[in-house]
Amino acid sequence: MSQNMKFLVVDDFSTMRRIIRNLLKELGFTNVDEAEDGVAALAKLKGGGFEFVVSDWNMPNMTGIELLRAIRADADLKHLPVLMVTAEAKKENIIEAAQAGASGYVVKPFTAATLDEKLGKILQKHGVPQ
Amino acid sequence: MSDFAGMEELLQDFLTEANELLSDVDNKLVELEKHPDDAKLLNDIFRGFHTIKGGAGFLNVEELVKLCHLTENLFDRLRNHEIPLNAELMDVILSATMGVRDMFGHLERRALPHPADPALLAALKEGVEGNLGKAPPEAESAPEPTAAPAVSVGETRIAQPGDEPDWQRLYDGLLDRAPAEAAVVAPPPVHEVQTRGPGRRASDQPEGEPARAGRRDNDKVVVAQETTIRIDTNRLDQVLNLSGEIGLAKNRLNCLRTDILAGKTDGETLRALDEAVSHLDLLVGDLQNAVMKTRMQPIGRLFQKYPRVARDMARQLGKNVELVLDGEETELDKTMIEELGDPLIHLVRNAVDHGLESPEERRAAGKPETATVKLSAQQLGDHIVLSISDDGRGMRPDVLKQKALEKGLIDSDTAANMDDKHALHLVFMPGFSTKDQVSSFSGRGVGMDVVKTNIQKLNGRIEIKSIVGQGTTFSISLPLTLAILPVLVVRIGTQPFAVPLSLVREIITIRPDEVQEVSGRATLLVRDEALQIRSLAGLLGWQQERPPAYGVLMQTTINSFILAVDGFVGRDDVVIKPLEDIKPKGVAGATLSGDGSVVLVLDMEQLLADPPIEKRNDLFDMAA
Repeated sequence: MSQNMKFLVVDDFSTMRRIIRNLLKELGFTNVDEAEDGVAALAKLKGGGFEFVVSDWNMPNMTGIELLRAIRADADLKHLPVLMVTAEAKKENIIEAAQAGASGYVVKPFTAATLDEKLGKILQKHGVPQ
Repeated sequence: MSDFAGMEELLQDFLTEANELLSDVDNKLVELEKHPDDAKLLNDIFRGFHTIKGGAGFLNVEELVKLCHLTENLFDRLRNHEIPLNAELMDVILSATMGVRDMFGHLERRALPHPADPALLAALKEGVEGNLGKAPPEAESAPEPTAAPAVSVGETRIAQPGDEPDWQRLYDGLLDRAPAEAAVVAPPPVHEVQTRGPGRRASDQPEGEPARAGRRDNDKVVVAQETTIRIDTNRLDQVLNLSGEIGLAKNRLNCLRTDILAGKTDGETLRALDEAVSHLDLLVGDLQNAVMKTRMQPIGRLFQKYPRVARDMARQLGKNVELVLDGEETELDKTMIEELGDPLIHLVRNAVDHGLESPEERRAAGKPETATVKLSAQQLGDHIVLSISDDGRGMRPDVLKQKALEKGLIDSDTAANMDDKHALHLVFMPGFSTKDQVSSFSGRGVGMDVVKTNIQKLNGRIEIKSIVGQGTTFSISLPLTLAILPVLVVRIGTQPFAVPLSLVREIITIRPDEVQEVSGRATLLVRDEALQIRSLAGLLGWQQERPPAYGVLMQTTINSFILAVDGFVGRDDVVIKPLEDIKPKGVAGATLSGDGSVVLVLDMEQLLADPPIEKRNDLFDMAA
């Protein structure tokens, strides 16, 4: 996969954005932008250039699942891979995410290896050459 | 050795952010007591614990994860209206936030927190089950951890990656994936995160690493928190832009210097020099402001703590109080915000403890039972004014005087001559406490005298206004920053001295024939106000060489007086350098004036500590 791939990390807790950014950096992805909620994320995504979204679930203003639905409903954005990051390890949440079109689901806390594996699968599925 | 080797920066970030979150949660809990069904509040509080749990998970602070997780579950059920919020549940929730704060305390000392109180965890589980508040009393009084068997909600949702293979399979099924992948679940994150830590951050911030390592070696990690600050990147960019522009201005000046040194002094060159210097002047001023702004933080961060403080205390005293916050967005220098924490907490406690009446007294006085304490901040010119007002019983000057007399803090003469305003300020005297029995709250550790001293250290002033039966207001006036002090530069002979401009009310000319002597002291009548004249030379212990020509009307917290000087240099913004080895009485530090001479900056408080009595003749009838 391209190390230049541009990520958008969406989380209202800046420490968490930093953790995810660091994990991505560890995997060699350095082209990472951040947004603090779904509203900010959507605005940035509409600006274009992003190739991957990693989003928290529980956020004020616009939650991760709402963001996911908005992405899937937008003709320009609907092909973007979206990895949902959350501590909500609840069955109904996973179903909800899958139904809304999440490309993957990872439960906090996770390691770089877990993230790498999830990214790999998602990118494979989205047809990005490894 | 720290339990968080290699995760120092991350932990620091987490603590800063999580502390803010928790304060916010605390406030929302106070709100929640008033509006127990507010869906947004319940959701926000849920998210607070949830977010803290998420961060704690990455830091491997299991005990914190556990406590937050249970509390979060409780709020999940509350927000879904599955269980009702009652007073007992509220107390458990408040203890849980205290437990979380306690764990933050451990983390701040870089230690893994101990497990939360088993009784608290048990009570939380009971709460999640909906058993709290309706169980028989004997079960409540001794909640055994074993009393809550089969905690279904708690157990099924613990966010251990290992707990989710079923969901993973289910999820993969939904995504049309091979079920074989379901076997791959996240390994326990503990060791990996720790061993990877340093490498990751080394690439993150190359120059930060050695310093951090050094700090860890010395085990002096606790100071770290006070030395970090969160700055809006726009403000940093502003600083960068201005320093760039100053660089350009410097280049321009370099060119002009070369020209001038080469003998080019025509009108145009000099005009260009004048312009370049003016431009630089402007830029440096802007840069000072921009740098100062990077240190500015909204005072709301401090205010956040107080609704909870007021609530807890009022509850224990059997009073009803609402703490109203105003102007939380007002910005103040970071150092000052830190220094203001203790004085403000004391004033809030003081208002609730001493200022407010009991609900019965309030009813009898025809006041609403719930008292209001208002904490507000606003910027007035180059000052920030903080005020704490209550609608309580007010302060009675005669009672205060009587107390001070009984305690031997003042003599009867002083008491008789003391006006109401000064009588109120008696509460700032060391050893003064209006209640005969020191209560467990306001009387703990610090007194009002310490409040005043702390405010004065920040070059601030504190004033009291009180109307008997209607309430009391303490106002604290502070300069925007400690870094730059606006001063008035005065002279004795040729020696310049700087006086903090905040104390200066006006400048007057002293005509010897208008100076009178009242009770043996040189006094001048300014608009019907008799003000004592104190010569700066006299205060410094210098010989008065000539009659002072000018007076600076000074207003301190204690009184107003006229500071007699020989002349003025002007007003200036100075940066005070402390004097390390010599500390002359009444001198706060030194600064350099524009022409390079040393100006002593006066500490008026110290200077006035033990003033000599000056008669009219001492000042104006020299043996000439």
